[in-house]
Amino acid sequence: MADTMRAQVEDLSPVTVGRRGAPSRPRTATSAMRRALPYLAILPTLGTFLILLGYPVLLVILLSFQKYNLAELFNHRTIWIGLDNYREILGNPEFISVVIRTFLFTIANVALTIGLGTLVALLLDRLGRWMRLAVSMAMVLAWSVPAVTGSVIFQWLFDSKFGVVNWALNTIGLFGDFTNHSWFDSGLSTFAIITMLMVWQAAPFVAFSLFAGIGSISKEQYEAARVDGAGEWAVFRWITLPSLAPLFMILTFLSSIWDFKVFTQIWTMRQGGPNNETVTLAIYAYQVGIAGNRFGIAAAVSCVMVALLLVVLVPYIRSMVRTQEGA
Amino acid sequence: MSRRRLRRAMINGVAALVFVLFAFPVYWMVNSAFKPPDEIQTYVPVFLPTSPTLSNFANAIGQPHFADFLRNSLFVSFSTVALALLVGLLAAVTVARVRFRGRKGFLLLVAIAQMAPFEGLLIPIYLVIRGTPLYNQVPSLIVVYFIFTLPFTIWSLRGFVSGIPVDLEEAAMVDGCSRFGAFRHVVFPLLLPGIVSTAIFGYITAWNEFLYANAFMTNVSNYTLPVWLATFRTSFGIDWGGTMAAATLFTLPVLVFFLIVQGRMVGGLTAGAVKG
Amino acid sequence: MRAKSLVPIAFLAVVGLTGCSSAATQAPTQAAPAGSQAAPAGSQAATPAPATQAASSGTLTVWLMKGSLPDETVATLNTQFQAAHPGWTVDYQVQNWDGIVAKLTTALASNNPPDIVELGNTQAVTFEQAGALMDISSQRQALGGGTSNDSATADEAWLGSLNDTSIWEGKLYAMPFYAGDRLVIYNKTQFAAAGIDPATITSKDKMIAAAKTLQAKYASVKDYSGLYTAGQNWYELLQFIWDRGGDVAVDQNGTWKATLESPQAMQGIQDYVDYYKAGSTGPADNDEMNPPEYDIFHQGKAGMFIGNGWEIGSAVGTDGKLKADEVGVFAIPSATDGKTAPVFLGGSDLGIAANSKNQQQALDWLKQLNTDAGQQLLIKAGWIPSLKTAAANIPADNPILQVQAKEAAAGSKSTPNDPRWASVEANNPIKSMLTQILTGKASIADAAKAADQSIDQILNTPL
Repeated sequence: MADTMRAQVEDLSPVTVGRRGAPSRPRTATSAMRRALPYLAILPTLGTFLILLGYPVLLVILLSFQKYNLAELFNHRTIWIGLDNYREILGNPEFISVVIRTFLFTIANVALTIGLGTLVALLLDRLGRWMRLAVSMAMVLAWSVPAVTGSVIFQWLFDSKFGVVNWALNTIGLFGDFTNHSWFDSGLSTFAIITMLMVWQAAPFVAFSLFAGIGSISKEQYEAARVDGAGEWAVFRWITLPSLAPLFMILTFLSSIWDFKVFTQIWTMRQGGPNNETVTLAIYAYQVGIAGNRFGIAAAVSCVMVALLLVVLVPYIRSMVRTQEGA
Repeated sequence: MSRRRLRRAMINGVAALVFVLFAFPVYWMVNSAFKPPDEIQTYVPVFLPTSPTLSNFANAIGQPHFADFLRNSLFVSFSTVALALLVGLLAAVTVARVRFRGRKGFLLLVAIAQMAPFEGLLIPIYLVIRGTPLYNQVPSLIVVYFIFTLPFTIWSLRGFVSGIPVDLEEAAMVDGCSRFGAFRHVVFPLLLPGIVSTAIFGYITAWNEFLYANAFMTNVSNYTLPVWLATFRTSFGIDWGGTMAAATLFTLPVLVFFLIVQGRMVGGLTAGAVKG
Repeated sequence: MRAKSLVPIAFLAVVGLTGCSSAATQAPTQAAPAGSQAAPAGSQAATPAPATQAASSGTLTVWLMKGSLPDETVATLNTQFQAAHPGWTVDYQVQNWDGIVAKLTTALASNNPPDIVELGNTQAVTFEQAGALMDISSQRQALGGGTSNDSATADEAWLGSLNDTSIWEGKLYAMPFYAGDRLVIYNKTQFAAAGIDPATITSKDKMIAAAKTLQAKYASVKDYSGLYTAGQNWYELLQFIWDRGGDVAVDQNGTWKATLESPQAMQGIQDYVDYYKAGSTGPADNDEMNPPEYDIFHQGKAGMFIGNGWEIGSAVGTDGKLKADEVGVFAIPSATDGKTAPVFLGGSDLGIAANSKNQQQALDWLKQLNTDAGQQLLIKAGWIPSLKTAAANIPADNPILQVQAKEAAAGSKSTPNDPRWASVEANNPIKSMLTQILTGKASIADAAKAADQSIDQILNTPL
């Protein structure tokens, strides 16, 4: 596998599939067409990203420099206000804590999602057929529940008066009195519930991906390691983990983006409450922008969000592309 | 021997715990869907409805235009998946198999496109679309969902394609297949699990989307199922039983789809990403 | 430099796409339908043409909200409309409350909007201010709403607080549709068993005393509340505050000032705390829909609660555990003995899209509601009708609505009539304030101060 890839790298002609054994052809119009072929193949994608996506993205950027409220939407007015929107956002004393909170929330969620997903993947790999099917089914179900419904159910489970969780903790009786214990009376506790919900919804995807990844690692490697007397941890650390590294990178990348931008779950749970202590950037964009139909401000928050994501993730993507392309 | 049994028991114990933790909220949803209104939130949890009722389900299905919503949702979801797979596959095979100038830049673009702010683009996309004949037409949703599922589709498929050894294609071509023939007869079958697993994501995304479906469709007959999920909050309060019944019905197709394909999926899922 | 010139062009291109060629430079006077469109004569907002059909045929699109009017009521109105407008049909569509603002925004701003839309009375001002709706000031009398569009000098035929929400900066952009308000819903059987005569509950203190009597009688019922309320029932809180003469915010010459810290408002908050602490088992950190208060009542775990008129149906339910004649209502008593408390007037307004091409027909459809027959239809649907005269003459066969209408006549209010209020609700500092107080995390004064700060900030952002 690896050497085929290398052979491709050495052969720098545009179309490489099956080139090694093929007789060389004279440089003709066909050859020019061949050179154009990859570009033709990515053309629909390029078109989609640069035009269908690019144009609205350009508009978001333009809107972020405008006063664009509901009235402007109806009257087709264009009012340029320079950096005022950005000034309002960045000048809000809350803003910096919202940014920090969003990053902490994202890091915690990604770490827990990937961590739990990995554990479940390892577990699936060790289970018998029926147990594996049962756990997979539970995972699929959790994954397929709509976000709003999932949020409502978690709210119910952790309700202070009617929640199953408080009832169960009281019934077990080992952890003290949970009668009327409110899980939503502090930001941290509310975040804990939101995180549980998000991990519950996202871990199945990670677990399935990693489980499949584990399945494709050759069994010989494991056996060789076991013969050498390696324990579970050593096998995981020196064989599973390195083999799965590219997959981990992609999953971390995707999870980071999803968790950073998440709106529905946080909003449905407590609308950013209590006391705005669970306001992340996505909620902030809604509160300062969308709720009051101030689309210019909302656009500016969107731009800031993407800028933050880019700053953090572009180096990561580059290394991701590099490691995978270099292998 | 007994140590091994102990280990087995421990693993199964952990598995049982994982099962319960993941299944319980779903069970609670289904359980609530069968309850009469006054049993849904009670001081002492009702683990099995004392007088199970199907009226929530009847109410959910009986909503006006349900058949339209279902048809639109299926149409939008399947079209989105088909379109994204078609375009995504072309791009994925190309970046996975062909070295061309600007390839890394292209991959970077795909990654950046993944970061596009879905919610933030609602108004700009609306501004573009409101004057076109696409406005208030179901296909406009397909375009939007296609844009937003394409980056993931390419990332994912690219991993699968590069996981399939090039030698196989070469062998087929030596045997006289055309390049397309080699792709069709050799690569495609191996790629199928990858296509399926990628399709599930696109499907879930399109199937669940509410924001655009709500804002872009003005005719009731053009609504999709997520809009239907929101019909249970009325000026008469929230019909929680109806909501849960609808959500249960809503998740069923995904579950069934998954159960059908899961055998295939696990076989080859993300193999490419591992080896790539 | 090139980029600089491209930017406005790109934007104009989009604006151009919307089909209003001169739109970008159009003067920002609102509501006049884009005159350049090939609209039938007589559809100009400013020139009230006689009620003749300008176009001989067409389709009038009417959007009402889910739960507003029964299908057969709408059918009656549409049949009547079609009889008077041969060749016209009505496309009636029911919309959901969830996501309605986004939907109205995109639909009303499109070239082909629904002609008539129902707007929740707290949402209406958002669209009025934005110019989404036709200016119908000149039609006020024709619509049956009296003569004055100045909400301060109310010479209006429509219910006061509904009328207010139809007006923005002295112009009428919507027509009051119907209203609803809250009343005390109680369990007759339990009241009788505890020996309480509801007629004697004439003040809040007496209500609390009755709750305690009920709790003593039903001590054996687990989690029983004499009166039940969720901790974050902020609509209810507003009524307590108004009852003491306070308000959530006042308009001081164009600047909003949040006034939860005022002694009157704080007294109202204290009343609410006393009320909750009289024995409600409702959650301190959740609102009246989680769980719905009427479900608790239906389970027999509450002797009474303050609910909307329509909640009675849900409270009775369909499983036969509680019979309709076991549920009674009375007006919400004031803190002052013998008076009823001011109520939050919920309800809806009807607007005509500024971009509608059928504005004359839309006006004709609206006029049907302000006739005697039209008002009776609203009453039959269980709503307080929009006209004061009709609201004062609710037929005796509808005792619940009579109580509600009496309350509304005695004094009704709504949230500050400003588009920015929607952003306040998105933050909902009032809910946070209530939880802080009820869980003992903050004093009333401190929590009210924090809430005021956040309301002030939002309500005074430039429009």
